[in-house]
Amino acid sequence: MNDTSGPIRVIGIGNRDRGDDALGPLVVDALRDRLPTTVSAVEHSGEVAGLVDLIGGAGAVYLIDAAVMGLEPGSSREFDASTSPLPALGGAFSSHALGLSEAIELARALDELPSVCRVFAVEAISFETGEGLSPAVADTLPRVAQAVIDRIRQENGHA
Amino acid sequence: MSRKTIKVDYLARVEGEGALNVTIRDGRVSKAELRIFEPPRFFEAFLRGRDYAEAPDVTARICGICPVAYQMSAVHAMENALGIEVEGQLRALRRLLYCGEWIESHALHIYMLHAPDFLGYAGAVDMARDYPDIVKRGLSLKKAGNAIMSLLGGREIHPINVRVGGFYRTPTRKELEPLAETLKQAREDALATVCWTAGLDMPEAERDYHLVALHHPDEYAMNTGRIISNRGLDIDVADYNRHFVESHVQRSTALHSHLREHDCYLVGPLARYSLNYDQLSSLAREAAKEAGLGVTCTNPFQSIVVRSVEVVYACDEALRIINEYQGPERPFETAEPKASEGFGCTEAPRGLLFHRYRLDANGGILEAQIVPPTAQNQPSIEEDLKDLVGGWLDLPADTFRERCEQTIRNYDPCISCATHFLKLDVRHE
Repeated sequence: MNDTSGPIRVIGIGNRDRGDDALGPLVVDALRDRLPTTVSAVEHSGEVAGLVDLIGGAGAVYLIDAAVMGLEPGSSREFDASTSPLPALGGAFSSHALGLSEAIELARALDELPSVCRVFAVEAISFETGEGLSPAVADTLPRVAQAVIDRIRQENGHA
Repeated sequence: MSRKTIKVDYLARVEGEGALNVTIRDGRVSKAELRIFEPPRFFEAFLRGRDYAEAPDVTARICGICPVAYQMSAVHAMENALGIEVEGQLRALRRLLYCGEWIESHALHIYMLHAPDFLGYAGAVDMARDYPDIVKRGLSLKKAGNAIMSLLGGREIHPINVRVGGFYRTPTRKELEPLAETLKQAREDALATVCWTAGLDMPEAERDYHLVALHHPDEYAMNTGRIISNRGLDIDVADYNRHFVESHVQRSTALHSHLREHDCYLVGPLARYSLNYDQLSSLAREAAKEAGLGVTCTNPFQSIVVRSVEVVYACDEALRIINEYQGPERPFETAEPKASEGFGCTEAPRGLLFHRYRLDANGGILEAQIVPPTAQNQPSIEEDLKDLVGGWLDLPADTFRERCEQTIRNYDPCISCATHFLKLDVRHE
């Protein structure tokens, strides 16, 4: 169990109207009645200043995001970002939309990264406006929600 | 005749994908070409057949950084087509929303994207390790802009509360009050930003720009006004296509804009500042003066200082609007659809953003034209490089490339908006 002072936050990153990008918010929906009151689950657009704030103010963060990692569609990976940067997840080249990796590294550089920072990434197929989740990502969603719960229980002794 | 090629595979810290080719012949720059290869996005085609009321929400999707600009130009064009006048508090609320976008977009560019160039860092993360308090100030400023956009727009990215004729819902005075406290701190942060950027090591460069911006007789233009320039242009927005022309160049998926008579021109903060200086608030003018700026500015590298001055202004103006706000009687004005054509031009953070729509009798969109600021500034970026690169040929290759990138970032270019960024290929012939 980690020594985490400060709130425990699950942060689902994404846009509900952009295909598989809806994964993060939909995992937050799936977790809402399954987390103790000491753990908050929030949806976030990924906007960098707000995200650094959410990450920085927490004792532990569990981030869920759709990504392009070059894996089979729907494949999930868990990363421990508390001690080392994330491998490049898709979209990192865009300057205007500074991504999750940059937000985590900014929090780390500002000495505001919590001791627990885990990222659950799922390989996306489509980020099309107006589309829903692809079947492969929809199939993975319950497993990711459960993996988040299991990890919180393991690291914080509840949930 | 000497020949040498320097290649940069990707320009970071700009939005979108492109490359730069510089050709040097006998020690002189003969050509500087931006190659934009980001795929075209066909938004103008998507809009055809849609209802006029959908344009603000569809066009907001063009950019995650300046969605308000797209919404504003779209609603003004539609209102122009339908004969709707939006005045009073509804107009003021739109200006407040635009202030939010200027604050968040400028703060992002100043602190996260542009400042690392001046301080010799690869990016904001590296800079944050040595300047944590400064980066925190930048993030805090950006959040203040986001707060306005969230409250008025419904959310900070791709706002959904703007509609033709006004807003779907307008805030109460009480709802706006907490914003005032946030903005008072943001205004202090913005003033500190002006001082800080003014102290950055600024490359010497003066360019003879044809500066183009909106001008309004009563305010620092954001949403409405006439299109003016420092060389005598003074036209109604509806006459845009009589004076400006878009053309396709093979190297770019973004159209290039030119003035029919004067070729390339500059839109954005330098143009706005130089053409509308007198209409800045006294606090913003004073900050500019203390930063060493004159009443005009044509050193493209000083755009970082001018953006900071505009953030002071946007905070000041937002506070004024909030202080004077009285909830409007109704959230929007309406009019019956009719066969018509409408024009809208507003000042996106990066400069002039022109929209034109032709509607059928039921309000269906028959034709849409969108000219974003980066498309208009592309020729000017190339001219800057052509003019300035010659003085940097003796610099080490890495420094040379960094200086070229910095020159392009002076514009805060948004290739995704324009595609309609950056590999550098320098050829010595």
